[in-house]
Amino acid sequence: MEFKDYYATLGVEPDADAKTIKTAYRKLAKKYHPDVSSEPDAEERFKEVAEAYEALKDATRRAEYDELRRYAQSGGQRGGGFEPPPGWQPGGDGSAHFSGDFSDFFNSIFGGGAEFRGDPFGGRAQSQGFHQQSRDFAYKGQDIEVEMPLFLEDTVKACKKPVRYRTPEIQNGQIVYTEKSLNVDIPAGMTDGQRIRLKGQGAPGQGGGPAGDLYIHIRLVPHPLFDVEGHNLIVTVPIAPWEAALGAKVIVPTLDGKVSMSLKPGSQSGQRLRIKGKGLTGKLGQGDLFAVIKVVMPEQNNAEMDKLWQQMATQANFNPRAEWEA
Amino acid sequence: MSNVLHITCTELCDLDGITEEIIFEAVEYGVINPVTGNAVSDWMFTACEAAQLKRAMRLQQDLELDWVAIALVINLQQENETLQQENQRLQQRLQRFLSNDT
Repeated sequence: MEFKDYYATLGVEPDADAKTIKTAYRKLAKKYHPDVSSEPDAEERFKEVAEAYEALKDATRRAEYDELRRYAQSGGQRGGGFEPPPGWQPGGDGSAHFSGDFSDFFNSIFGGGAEFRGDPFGGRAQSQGFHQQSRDFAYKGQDIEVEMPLFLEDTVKACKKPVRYRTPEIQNGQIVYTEKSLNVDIPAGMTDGQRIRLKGQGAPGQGGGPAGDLYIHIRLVPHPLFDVEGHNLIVTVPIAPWEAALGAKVIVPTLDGKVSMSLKPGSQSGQRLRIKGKGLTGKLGQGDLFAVIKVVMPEQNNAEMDKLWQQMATQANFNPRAEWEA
Repeated sequence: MSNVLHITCTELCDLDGITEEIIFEAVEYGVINPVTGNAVSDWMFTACEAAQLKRAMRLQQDLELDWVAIALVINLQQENETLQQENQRLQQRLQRFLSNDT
């Protein structure tokens, strides 16, 4: 076990006063808290910072830590490893409540052989985060959160989806993970970011407490054709210049098939045409499908076509940049 | 096993460390919003609100924030997330419009 220099973690001197330690913690917590930070290793860094602060914020614990630190510096750390001195007993009553998922080093010097229980605010690391607590209580198991990618097609009507996840459980003082798999009913009309709760499908409770819940976080998979805007869908429809000029009947794909759409003569690129009732089903009813027109030029012209374009250029009397010249 | 889309106030209190008073304050400051119910005991929440409340509690504990600051952080985060999603959607639509292989 490696000795942890909590002062270095917080970036303070070993003789720093409580206020300096608190300020350093706040600064680092703000930077690395997983709920507000975009740093790539935020979660790991925050754990280290929270652990260091937990050890140093309390005067008694800090004094104990300082004692061990002196011991380590005077040769207690041998062969790259650290062990507390023989007979080491942490102060207090041994049933302190620590609100974090701390390292073996922390637990070995402050732990007092406590029992684990599920993290009431589970989900910080999907299935990590245990609290230490004395033995005689019943606790609800940890809530588990899993992400479920869902295709747009799956939101049209209710469907069943398999989900696999791991639940942590304490067996003989060790955290043991159990693989679980369920077939989950997904109601129609789910949207990106929605959560489904499956009561009692989280980690088993401790000491006879109820099991935690499973939260399924819906993530819509980007569709190759359709974009989502609320309950409406958007599809980009490429059309030829002469279809835009003369109007046309265009076959447009929908989530559950195809529909025929009439294009008026003189259609513009970027124009949106509504196809009613072909969007997603939601709480507020059926959404619509919007076809966005995109005029596409043919990639290759032959001499005959060039002649026709030239003829049009001469006869059209059209300057699309007329506004610039005004 | 059943899908429960809404969570009662009592069930929310089952989350360790959360009391009716905390829920009341979280609602009062706009951190979470009940989907139905007038009286506190009748309030119903979505699973997303439960996740939001857990996040609020983490912020309160770890960053020692008060409710005003938590509400501010959470509202700004939501706004940021909405803008990011909108930006991503618009980028994707722009890409479809600009590319030649729609």
